[in-house]
Amino acid sequence: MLFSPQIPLPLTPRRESRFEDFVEGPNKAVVEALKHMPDEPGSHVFLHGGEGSGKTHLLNALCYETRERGGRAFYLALKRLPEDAIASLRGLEKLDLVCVDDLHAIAGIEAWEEALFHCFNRIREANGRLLTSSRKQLSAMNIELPDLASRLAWGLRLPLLPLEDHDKLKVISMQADALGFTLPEDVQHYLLKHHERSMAALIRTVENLYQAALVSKRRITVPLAREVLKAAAGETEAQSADKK
Amino acid sequence: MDGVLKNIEPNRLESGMAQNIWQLCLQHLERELPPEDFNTFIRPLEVANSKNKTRLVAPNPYIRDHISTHYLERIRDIFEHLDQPRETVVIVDGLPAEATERDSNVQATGTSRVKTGLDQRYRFDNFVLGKSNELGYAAASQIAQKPGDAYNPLLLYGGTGLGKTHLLHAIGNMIRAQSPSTKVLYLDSERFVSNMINALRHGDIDNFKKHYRSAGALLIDDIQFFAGKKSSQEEFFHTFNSLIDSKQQIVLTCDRYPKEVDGLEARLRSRFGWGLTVAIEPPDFETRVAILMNKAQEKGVQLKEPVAFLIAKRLRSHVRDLEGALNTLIANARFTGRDITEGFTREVLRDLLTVHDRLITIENIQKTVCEYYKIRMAELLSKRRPRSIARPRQMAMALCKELTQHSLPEIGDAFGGRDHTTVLHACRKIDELCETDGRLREDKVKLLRSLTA
Repeated sequence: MLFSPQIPLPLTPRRESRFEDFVEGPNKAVVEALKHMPDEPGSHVFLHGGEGSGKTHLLNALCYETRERGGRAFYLALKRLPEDAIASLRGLEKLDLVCVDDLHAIAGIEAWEEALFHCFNRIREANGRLLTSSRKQLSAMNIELPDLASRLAWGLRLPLLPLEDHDKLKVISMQADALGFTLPEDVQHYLLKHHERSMAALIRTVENLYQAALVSKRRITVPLAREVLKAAAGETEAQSADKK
Repeated sequence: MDGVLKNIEPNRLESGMAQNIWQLCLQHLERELPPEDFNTFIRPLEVANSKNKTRLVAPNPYIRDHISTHYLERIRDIFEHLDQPRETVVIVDGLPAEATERDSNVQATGTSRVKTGLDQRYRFDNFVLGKSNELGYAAASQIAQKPGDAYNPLLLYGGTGLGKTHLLHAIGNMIRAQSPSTKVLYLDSERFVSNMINALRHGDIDNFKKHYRSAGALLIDDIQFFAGKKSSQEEFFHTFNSLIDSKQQIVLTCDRYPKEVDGLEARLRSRFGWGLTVAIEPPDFETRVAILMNKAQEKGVQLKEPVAFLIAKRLRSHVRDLEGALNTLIANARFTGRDITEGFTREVLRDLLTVHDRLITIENIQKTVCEYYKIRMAELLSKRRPRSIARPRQMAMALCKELTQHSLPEIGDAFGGRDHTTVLHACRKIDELCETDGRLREDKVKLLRSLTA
């Protein structure tokens, strides 16, 4: 491995995800619809988009917004939860906003689907707001419980579209700013040109670049970026070799 | 916004200090934990100061327990580090006081929720009538006018999102309008079960029994969720008998014919059939258009007919699907400032409309039917004619005619080179059987739903 595995502690705490830090690109209407949710009790939005499209950011941004306005918000990442965590869906109807991330992680699991269905009903009955997200659109998610599928279909179904390249550059330079460094323009363009251009991959690379710079005490330059990409590619290869 | 966080502690200064210390603690934790865990478990905690204790309030018992086992010690470490005595930090769940306040808010502002559990948005006058639901509507309105007198119990069954719950609330609202003193209770079976569990836990079961057995009209939604819950079924059985004996109205809904619900006691099933059992079918094209136009009008939007036709033609499974599409369309128009034209609709609902297009091919229908009846594709396309294969084959042909634009000869060809008259015969046979055979009708509804959902 090229760089030390030690992870340096970030100097500044992460900033809470906010709407103003979100690069809208073609998703302006989606963001507008979410911003209106605090004014619309009883609303439900189902957000879908690929990995790295910004779902988690938007869910947390709405939580932030709700708390700023004195409301109570709850964010739940399903893919992070152990199987026995179904009880985490209870009692949420008391809150102003419930955000449930990564629905695709529980699609097809009977007990989770039923719990989510009842959770949905309780929130609706209490006139609360529910924002859900998934990597897949509803019809591709293989939800077994028709009652749950029909309820998810009920509210707004909004897709998050991939960003254009110039917007992707905006995202990674904002990400660098948040980490406390500046991403030189030539490095930005190098990453876009020589690397998988999915937003998730770009974000990981910027993170790796930052770690590498800290550990090796080097400036962030194109040669360093090249090394980081090479190291990452080597790791992916090694991983796939392991799997075989 | 309702449910505003309030400081429980009267001493504001102390409370403000607790907030500040908690903010510092948050900064520490945020650096240490993965963002998802931090956002799920730590961020929603609220802090309240009382009697020299810092109470962290979790939204539910699960989060409370998770914090206790995983993070509480760390939080106490940080408090100690900030010169606060570590033992003063405790974790609790729920904020019942504010929850009640929220309830009273809802009532005071006169929106849809009252203690009965009824939602006043659902009335007979905004229920869109069609061939598929006219029987259910007629029975429901008759019962609402003379509760306990006509059919008891009334059981409405049918797939999800077809309007059963709407009718249930409409019955309740009408009974209340005519006789405000009548105790009408609406709840779904899951709520019945959880209320009973709570009553048992708090030694309050006598009150629970009294509460439900004294209802003038009891409306229970989605009874299929009683399945497998024995003691709840037992209690519901007695409630049921007591209400029927005293001629109080019971209305139930179920997602399928109740005899087919596994895990439901035989004596309950048979009692459910004592009164009148009515099926609610998926809406036909005209009804779907009418639903879209009505819903749009409710939202203050004038929907053009071609747009309603476009959506109704493609989305045919259930009403929530239609409503969801319409909501999405209206929101997009609102936030982009564009008019709702056919082109705009195609653009916004692209995902919904194309998926439905793509799924419905002859091949797809054949595959779905084979999976449903658990037969092999080769058998479906073979010349063999035992009923266990012939009936699914006829069903598949009928579905092809209904859901695709293919001609009868084309459909015949796709089924192992059969004549178009065979296809015609299959379609007629299935239509005929749907009139007389409840199970086959059920099969068709389920297949339609899985093909068009």
